[in-house]
Amino acid sequence: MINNKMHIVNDLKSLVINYIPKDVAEEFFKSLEEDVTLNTDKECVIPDLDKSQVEYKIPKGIKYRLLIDKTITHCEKLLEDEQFFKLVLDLSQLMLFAGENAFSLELAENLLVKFNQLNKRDAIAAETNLMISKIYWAQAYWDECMQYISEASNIFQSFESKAGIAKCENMLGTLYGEKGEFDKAQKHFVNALIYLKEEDDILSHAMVLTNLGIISTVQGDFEKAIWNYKNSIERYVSINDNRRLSRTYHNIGMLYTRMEKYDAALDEFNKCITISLENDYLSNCAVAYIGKAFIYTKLKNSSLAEAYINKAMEIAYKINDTLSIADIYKIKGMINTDLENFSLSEEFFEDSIRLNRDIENKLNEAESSAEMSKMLRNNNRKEEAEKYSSAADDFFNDLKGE
Amino acid sequence: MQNTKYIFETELEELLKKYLGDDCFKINLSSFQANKSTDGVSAKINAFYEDQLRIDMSDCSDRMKIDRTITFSQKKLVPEMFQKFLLELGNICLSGGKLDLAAEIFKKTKNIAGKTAIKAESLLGLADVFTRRANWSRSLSNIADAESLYKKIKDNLGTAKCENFIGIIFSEMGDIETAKEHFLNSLSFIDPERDKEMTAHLETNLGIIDNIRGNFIESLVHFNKALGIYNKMQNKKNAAEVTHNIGMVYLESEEYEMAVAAFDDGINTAKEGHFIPILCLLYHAKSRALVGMNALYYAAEFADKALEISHAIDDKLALADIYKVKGIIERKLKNFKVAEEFLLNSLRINNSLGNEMNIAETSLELALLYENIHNTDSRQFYLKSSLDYYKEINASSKIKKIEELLNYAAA
Repeated sequence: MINNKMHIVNDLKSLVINYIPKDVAEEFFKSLEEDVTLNTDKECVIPDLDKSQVEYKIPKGIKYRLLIDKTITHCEKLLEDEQFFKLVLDLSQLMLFAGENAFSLELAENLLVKFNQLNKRDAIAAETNLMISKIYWAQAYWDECMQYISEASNIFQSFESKAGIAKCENMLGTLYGEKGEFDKAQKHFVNALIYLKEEDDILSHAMVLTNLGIISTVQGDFEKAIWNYKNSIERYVSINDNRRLSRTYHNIGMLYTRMEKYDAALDEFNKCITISLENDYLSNCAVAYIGKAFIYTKLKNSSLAEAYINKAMEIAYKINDTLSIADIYKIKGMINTDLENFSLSEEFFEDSIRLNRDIENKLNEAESSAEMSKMLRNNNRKEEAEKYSSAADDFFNDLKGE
Repeated sequence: MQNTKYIFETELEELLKKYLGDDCFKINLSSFQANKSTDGVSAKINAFYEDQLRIDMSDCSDRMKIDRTITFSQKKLVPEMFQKFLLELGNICLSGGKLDLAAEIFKKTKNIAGKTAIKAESLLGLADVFTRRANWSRSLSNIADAESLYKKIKDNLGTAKCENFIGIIFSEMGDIETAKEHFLNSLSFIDPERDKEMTAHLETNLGIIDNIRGNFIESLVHFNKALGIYNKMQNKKNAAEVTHNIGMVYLESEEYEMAVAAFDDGINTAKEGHFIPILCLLYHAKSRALVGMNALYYAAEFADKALEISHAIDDKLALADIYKVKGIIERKLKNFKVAEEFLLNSLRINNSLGNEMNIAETSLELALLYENIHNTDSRQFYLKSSLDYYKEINASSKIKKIEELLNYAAA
């Protein structure tokens, strides 16, 4: 049987030696061949709940595909056009929740092609553009995300749909938030609330409140964050939206993590994970696993942290969540620092910083730089540490200024 | 604790109820699942086939190794070398079917490229990703940008690559005539003695055109020329691809044993090199050959594996084609309802991809199915629509076959 792990190592080795002298790359090759999964020299006892969470098997996408293709082929014949379009859009949303990004995009893009042929520029066309923006957002493709939000916004504005424009404002805020531009993000969320004032759109309202909660968390205004989250949870419960409800539990977990209330944070992450595992909401699982791994790192439980971060990596890779992958490298760096594998730790921090820089995520870049600086300082590499800490400080000072 | 099928199906059923009301019960969602599972290889299959079908798909540890290599190389290399390195790395990802990662790498290269040629190459890399995902418009727009850059720096080989690429896209859409024009145009920009690899690519593509038109001997001449060059260059990936194409000629001329021999050879090479997208095509092709040999059980195994991979690597064209093969298998097993579902899926997806040739092929299969179930109107409709396309591309053997079927009905 073919060993895929060796395949990629061999490919990478034969590529690298064309560019970098063998003696320079030798040590790197050695570490590349090693399994960087931790060996903590400790018997790892994993509690039952954690065991069930890290042993989760990611569903195979083809099973979804077979059912959905069949459904679409049938419904195209059975439904009126408008109903059929809405169904396909719902299916696209369903596939995004399931982490089937490419399939989700295919469904939404096919709709757009149809709408262009029909010269259709109504609410469903705008929603489809917004859907595509979400798919690109989930993969940190900011330019494409922005392009589709603009198109959605233009369409909604053409018939003065306040609820629609609010959705676009919310999406813009989300985009800026992911890039670490929180002042811009907040402005868009506030705009969204203004547009929603006279609208009876519970879901959009709840989503904006959740996002404002995230901004408050980042800014350290914990009371306000709690208020926003509680309000959004009430709304999600009232409309039975489990996916967003569980995501909000994750957000509360993040809030408690910032407050260093780790037990409370773990409870919230577990609430998120329980719902998400039951429904295969992969993206929620990935972020909540990262949240738990971070806490276990803080609690110096490297084995459990590693188990969670590896599972998070498996999911993030499957759903092409580059933001999460960059975050995972940061935590892998922290775990290796704790275990005094400093060379590997440095490498992971560098990976995280590079990737965050590539996807323009300033907050996460600053956080990884801060962790890198801490590790270097503890290793008496103060000059190098300074470079990273000042980059991180610049960002956090700007944030306070905001 | 995990019961994915139950939860997802329930969710889907609820959605259908919302749109269809009681009509939703007309859709038997489980009928596709009544077939064999797609996530494993049946225990009953023979050892040789089992070995052929066992393949590790890419996992997250690959991504980690690639990320670490990028970070390491970025520190060690001067910018221009790093960018060239990235271009090669992007292509490695493409060969392994890691399209998301390849796109990320080519995008990064495009953003940091200093030299025009590197930027153009990264645009072609992105075009390749979009082509594999059947996103023709975005692919063509990236190629146009690349071509204008190559022309600006008078890079003939670069321009030839772009023309070749445009030809591939037209060929994927079934517009054989325009595809050939671009291939010949590409040929005019290169020196076959110097640009050997490009020559081999063009020989391959011209061979594909000849095969579609039923010019089997000419097609084999092109493929063998290309194979000779690839073997000399030890380019195993393209060698596996041409081996697949040679098998396709035998398949079209109904020499199934020869076809299977070529596909087995290709599978061997593709598995060894972990060339997942090509492996997917080879599994699919072998499935078709096994159908020709009436080995339906084995054919289904290969089709299922190809389907699983095609979804994982987002190869929509292959996926639509595999649905067609699954439809043929079910028709031959006399499961006409399931066969119709698969064929209609294939037709719908091919329609949305604008692939005229595959639409014609699937239409022909639907016509054969409707003949089996005595639905004369539908049979005639699909035969005629299929015939229209084959007349357009002048595919003599197909035209003859369809006309015979039509005449048989008339008699």
